[in-house]
Amino acid sequence: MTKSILTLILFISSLHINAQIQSVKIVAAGLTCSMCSKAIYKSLTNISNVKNVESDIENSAYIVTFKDTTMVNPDALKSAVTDAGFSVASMKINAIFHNKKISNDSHLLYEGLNLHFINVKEQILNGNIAITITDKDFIDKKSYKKNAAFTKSKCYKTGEKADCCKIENGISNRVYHITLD
Amino acid sequence: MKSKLFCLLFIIGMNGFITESKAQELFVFSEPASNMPAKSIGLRMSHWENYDSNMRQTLPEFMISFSKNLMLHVEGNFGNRFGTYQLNGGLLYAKYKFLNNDQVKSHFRMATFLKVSQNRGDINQEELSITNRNSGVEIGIIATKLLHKTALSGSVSISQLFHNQVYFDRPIGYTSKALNYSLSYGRLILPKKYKNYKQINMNLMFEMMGQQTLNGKSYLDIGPSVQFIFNSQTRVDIGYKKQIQNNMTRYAPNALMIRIEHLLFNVL
Repeated sequence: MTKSILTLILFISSLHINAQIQSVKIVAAGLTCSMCSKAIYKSLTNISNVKNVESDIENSAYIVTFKDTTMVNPDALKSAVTDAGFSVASMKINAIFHNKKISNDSHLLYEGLNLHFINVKEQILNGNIAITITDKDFIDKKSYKKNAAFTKSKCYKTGEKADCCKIENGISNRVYHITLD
Repeated sequence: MKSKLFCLLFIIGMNGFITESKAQELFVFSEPASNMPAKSIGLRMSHWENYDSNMRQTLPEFMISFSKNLMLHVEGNFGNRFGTYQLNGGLLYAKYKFLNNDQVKSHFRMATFLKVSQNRGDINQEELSITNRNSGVEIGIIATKLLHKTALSGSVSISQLFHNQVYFDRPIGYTSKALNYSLSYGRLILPKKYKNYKQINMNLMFEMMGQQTLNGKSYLDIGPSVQFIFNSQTRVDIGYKKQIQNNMTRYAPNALMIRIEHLLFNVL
């Protein structure tokens, strides 16, 4: 009986560890008031896959968790912010990695998302790491231009899979460009 | 001359304030360049009490936001100008935001707007009032700057009046074209620090609204106001509009205004 309970606890724990995308942290731009902040909060909670939104009104920040971590859609999160009338200043995906080797211009299929790493050193990702989406409208214009210098890939401008992308399709042809802070 | 001097002092004063104070842009007597959240509906009721002419007006307003850039207001105008309280006219207001430059805790936005009104009242003033007393159109542009918690907004528009409904023609000598302008400043007073959406917000606003007609007539009003926001969703405005310069006939230049507005998010 005790063995069965232990096995069950270990099974539940392993499920938690394998839940790779833990949360997404969004910082919004263009607002200071709580009415504006609530507009974004309501817009984010309206996304069907969103489980919970924790808001920090003072810093215009939102931590979003998901019902299904394999169906996280950063574009939908961005649209929720822009539909509320504001912009995304930064979007960080807080995720668990297991020995994933990356380098500048390397690709990774991760939880259904096509990731293309930009402006990163060759390294192995292990553990809980916050990765930053550096696509247009996910980051300020200055940082977007700065990161553009690290790739010649066409997909950086379009966000769509192109000849430069040697990865399997994720949920769609959408390619998210990622950097590490 | 007096009005120009006042404008200059106002701008200088605002430049001083903007670096150190906190505010909002949900102005009471004018609209900012920002829109409501997309797919939302706003319900607004404004009541005006004029003490010069014992006039009262109540304006129910339905606001709908089709997208992040385009919104529409439909407004009814009820008042006691014919003795009993009745519908005097209506207004359509459309606003399109065409410039959006957001940064953390600041933005600069620009929008264009169009007002179309129909009014069935008699014409007994030279003032051109698309919102309250005349049939006509008004087209304009708004620019709004939010810097931390301070907001400053300006608008310029042109009005073209038509004859009011049925038998009230615009009298000879009353021009039907005018340039309108506004300058608005807002400052957040409370809360000092945001903790949750249930905190009551208090904003102080100061606005200037002016008109210049083609035949040299003009007026300038000031509008101080206080605004409370409850549950980050319902706002109550109390403002007083006071004429400070004028050389045209105006029926109700000074008035107290009370407004309640509620926003319904993501209902479309």
